[in-house]
Amino acid sequence: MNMLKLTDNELMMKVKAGEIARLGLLFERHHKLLFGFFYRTTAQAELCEDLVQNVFEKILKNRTQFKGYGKFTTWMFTIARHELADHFKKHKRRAETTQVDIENEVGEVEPGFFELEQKREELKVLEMAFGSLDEEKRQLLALSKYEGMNYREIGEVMNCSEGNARIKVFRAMQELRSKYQKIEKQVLS
Amino acid sequence: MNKDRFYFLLTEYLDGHLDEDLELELKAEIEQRGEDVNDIDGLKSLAEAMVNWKVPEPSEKLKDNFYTLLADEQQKQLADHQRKSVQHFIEKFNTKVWLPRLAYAAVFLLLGYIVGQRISTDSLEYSRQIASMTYEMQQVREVMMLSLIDNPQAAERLKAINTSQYIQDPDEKIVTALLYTLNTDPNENVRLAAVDALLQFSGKDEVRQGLIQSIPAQSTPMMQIALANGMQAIDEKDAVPFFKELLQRDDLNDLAKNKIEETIQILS
Repeated sequence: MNMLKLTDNELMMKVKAGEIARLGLLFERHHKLLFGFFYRTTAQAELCEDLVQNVFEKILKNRTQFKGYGKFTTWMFTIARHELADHFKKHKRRAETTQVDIENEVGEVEPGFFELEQKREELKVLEMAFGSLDEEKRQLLALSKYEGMNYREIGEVMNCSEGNARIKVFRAMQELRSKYQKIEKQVLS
Repeated sequence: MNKDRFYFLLTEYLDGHLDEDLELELKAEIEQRGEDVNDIDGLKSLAEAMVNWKVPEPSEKLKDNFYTLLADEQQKQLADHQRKSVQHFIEKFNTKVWLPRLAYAAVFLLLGYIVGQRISTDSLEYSRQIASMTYEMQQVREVMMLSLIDNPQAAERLKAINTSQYIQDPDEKIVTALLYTLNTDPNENVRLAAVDALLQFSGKDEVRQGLIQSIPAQSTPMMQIALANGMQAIDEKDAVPFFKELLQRDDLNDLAKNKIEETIQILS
């Protein structure tokens, strides 16, 4: 059997059946995607690597819970969200930002966002605005705009309906634009 | 227009999935709601700009850590299986031996036969599982090797070739990748590693032929000498005409020339 031709779900069902070496191919296929999700949510590369490792460790430990009904990536991102929530809980970091003046809003941005250098001004502003969104909105936009998920899958990961996922993503975009404009105004002034 | 339909059109528009008719329907609805159409266009521009935000690549440490985790888990799985097999056997043995106290000698003989069969079956099953896991690990290594061999960094390509030493019976893809590296890689260290890796699989006819065919293509003394040593090691007599062809070249280094002459003499 050519392992490379197996779908994610077929591979995961084999992992579930005890053929755990098959997880290697799932890791090769998805670890960068997962890293991207964590990076856009936390902007700290080293932390993201730890979180990716934790997710695959959980997949391995909870392999018998995979039912194979939905997509493997949806299950993986659901675990990733829980992992992120656990991390913030453990480190007692406030996951939500509050509506304060722009100085304070920028203060809520993850340190990594400021360390990104040699990028275009607009992109920097975008990253800063993204970093100042609350946790859920960052996750919604990361899943929607960067991880190639459709709204039904986003709904499954975020534990809401497809319709609600669309509303939440749209509102996150609106807030991102509002923050983007404020930061841009501040940078230009 | 109901709320679900409105947000469906809004999100599809931002994702660039709406055709002209639906876009007109959406914009008419926005105007009807007394909102500014320019806002939605601004959001779309922002969504498009977001595509340019790239994230850095994760480090190699992540891969190393993951494969260590996987190997540890496999060890645990194997140990667990062995423990269960032994327990299972002991339980069966106790039940069969100590319960029938009044059994006749013939029953014991029969029991001995059954236990013998059981051990043999367990051992076969165990061997089958080991073979299956070994095969799976080999496939994982093949995937790793093929994913690294096109890496722009020479160190990564070297790592890919080193991975191949753990592959016992490489398939056509691996052999082709190694031969391609041998003949085209710009880095000499990588090409040298490819020679070593291919020599491990010299039992395969396509590997021997590939190594022979690459002799005239090599332009550096190190590679010419490495192939000469390799052909001697596997006693490949068919390489002689190719080395003779190489000897005709004017740019041949003295050291390489001596080695090639020696190789022709040994193999002839």
